[in-house]
Amino acid sequence: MKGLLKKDWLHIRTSFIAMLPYFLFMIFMSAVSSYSRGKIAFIAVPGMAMFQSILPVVLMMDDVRTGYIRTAMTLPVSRREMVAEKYLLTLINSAVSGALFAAVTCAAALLGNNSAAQPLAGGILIAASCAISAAIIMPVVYIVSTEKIKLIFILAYVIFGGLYGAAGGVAAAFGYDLENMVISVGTSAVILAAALLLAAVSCLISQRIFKKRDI
Amino acid sequence: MNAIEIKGLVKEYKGFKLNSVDLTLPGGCVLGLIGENGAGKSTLIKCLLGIIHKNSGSIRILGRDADTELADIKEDVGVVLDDVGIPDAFKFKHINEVMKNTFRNWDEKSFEEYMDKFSLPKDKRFKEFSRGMKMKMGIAIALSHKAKLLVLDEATNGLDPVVRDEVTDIFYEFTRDEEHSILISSHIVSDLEKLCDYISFIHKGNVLLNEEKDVLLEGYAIAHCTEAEMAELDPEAVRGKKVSKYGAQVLVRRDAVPDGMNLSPVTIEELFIFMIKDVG
Repeated sequence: MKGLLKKDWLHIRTSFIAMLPYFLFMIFMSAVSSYSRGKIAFIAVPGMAMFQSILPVVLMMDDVRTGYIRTAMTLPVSRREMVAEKYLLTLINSAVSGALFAAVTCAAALLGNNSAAQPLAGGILIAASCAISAAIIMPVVYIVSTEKIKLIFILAYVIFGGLYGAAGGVAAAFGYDLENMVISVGTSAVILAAALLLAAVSCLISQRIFKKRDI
Repeated sequence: MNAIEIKGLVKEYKGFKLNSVDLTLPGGCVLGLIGENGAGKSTLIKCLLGIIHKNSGSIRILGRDADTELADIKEDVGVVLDDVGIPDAFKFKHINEVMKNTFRNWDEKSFEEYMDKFSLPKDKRFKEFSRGMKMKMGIAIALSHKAKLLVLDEATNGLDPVVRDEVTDIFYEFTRDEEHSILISSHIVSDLEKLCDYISFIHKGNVLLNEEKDVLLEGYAIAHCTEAEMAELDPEAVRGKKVSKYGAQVLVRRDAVPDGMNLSPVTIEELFIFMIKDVG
């Protein structure tokens, strides 16, 4: 497990460093908003979550492309560990993204003499959204044949994007302003707890699927 | 203790069946798996390593049940598959770092020595390696964690003859330790002939033969005769034949042909070709 995590961490460092500017840009924009208004644009939450949840799936696609998945099968790790490692990576990624977002935007809000509650709730929601997206996508990735991962991946994000757009449209039709929506820290924490539970269930399902697959 | 014991292994695909394979690799020995492309060598090795699932049968590796203890068994198994998969951007230091965190007995010094021995550049990314260099990297990894068993699937593919010879010597050196064993599959029979104690012929998913190499080389010969002489041979003695307008070449059991017959020694490659043609 440690070796798999190490490999993915080095892989991110060597191949996916280009994702960092987007992440930092989103944090920066939210920090400016927190500083000036004490609020974050909630569009930043799904935006960052979708982006962050790409990471484990992209790593899995790359493992298939480079043949590392077969190499991993020759190493002293079980299939269960291989799946659990990808979920653990997702959770670490969610936690780091959420914590970093919350730290920077809370600091910005406090510097601007605003409440840090909304930025903190935003950070928690980012972590929750990352976990939810991954919990939904990853079993699908383990079900489909490796050749079709890319297609499923694109399809999943089109569907997620569509759902988010539709939700925005429905909310606007009923007079809700998503941009200024207020979610409490407590509600965010409950959503995060539910997301973690969903991720745990998803992990068990993925392990059962991967256990039966030929590589 | 046997390094590998396979009993009644069945794996069925659409249009292919690995048919109730029995195979034993005694500890401290080298077993060569010989077969043409698509014969089932890689399928057998993939089943052994749990890369694909078997339909039935049992597999024991280093005396332990592969169904229940495979991940732990792999601490003692070095594997080189026909295609070495490492992330493109990885260099020597990254691979070393990953393996150090993967194998309990990872030996950094040994890995570095193999890198030097194989003249592999430490500052190049894996994607910049040639196929031969990638295979050498796979072999270096397999040899650097104090494995007791090496499983090599077409591991010498893509290597030039000089390096192949060098690598064969390294494998030979590996087996000098009585606890070390090798299962090696290849269609380059000359490599296996040099290295193996046991030979197994696999054809269309069936194991045709599993025997000590020396017994095979001493027990079989090629008889050069006319078609009429061939017809007189005991059918039990004949394991394969080639007939041309210049006469017949017959693969025979030495102990079952009449004295004074014109016999020449057989190579493993000839033995394999004759048997495959005979089975069809």
